[in-house]
Amino acid sequence: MTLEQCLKTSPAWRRSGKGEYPYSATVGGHEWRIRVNDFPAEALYTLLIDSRAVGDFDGWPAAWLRPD
Amino acid sequence: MRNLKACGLALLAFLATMLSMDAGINLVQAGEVAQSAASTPDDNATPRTNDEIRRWYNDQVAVIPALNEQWRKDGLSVETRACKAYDIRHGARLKAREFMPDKREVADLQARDQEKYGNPDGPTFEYLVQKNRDEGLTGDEVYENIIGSAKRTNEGYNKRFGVTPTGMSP
Repeated sequence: MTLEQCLKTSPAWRRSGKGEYPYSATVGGHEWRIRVNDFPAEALYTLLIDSRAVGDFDGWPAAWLRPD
Repeated sequence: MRNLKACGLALLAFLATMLSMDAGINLVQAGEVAQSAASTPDDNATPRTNDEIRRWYNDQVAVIPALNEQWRKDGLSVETRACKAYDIRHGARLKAREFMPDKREVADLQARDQEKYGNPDGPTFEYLVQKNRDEGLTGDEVYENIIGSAKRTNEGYNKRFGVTPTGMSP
């Protein structure tokens, strides 16, 4: 999947309790994780699927529900 | 323990001096841009989106190499120059967070920094010095690496986004 495709899905994000990787979800049997980067020197977030970086983005996607 | 507040005041005094002397347009621009990190976010140039904030930050730290050259000519020690460079970068980091419209994203950054550096505002100067020493750097290398990290950030950013920082000459 491309980042653009991923950003249009609606994963059931949950909090991981970790600082650098605070959000995770299981999508189609794959582990999705969000990494927080050294913004503004770097992009704010990176999406990883099964530990592979899919892409960077600078704001929480509108289609994604942020967990409480 | 280094007094970072004193270091910051020394930086502002230096920038004021730079603005009052005939040091060439590039350094005057550099001082103006660096000083804007301490200004209030109420003007038209205030970045309002995360993309704008990234560009703003890039402009803030882009002046460090030029300032460092001037500091070197003025006879400042490498440790003092590293401290000044750190102050610019750290101040811009915190100001960027003030600009960010979504405070949940700021909370994400603070939680990351707390976990990674033991400080919600990012690495301290002392942390960076110790980290460099732990990685095997010695003597002036420790401080030159802190100064140089801003330049490396700029090069990576500019290559990726094709940006020419406004505070730098072409």
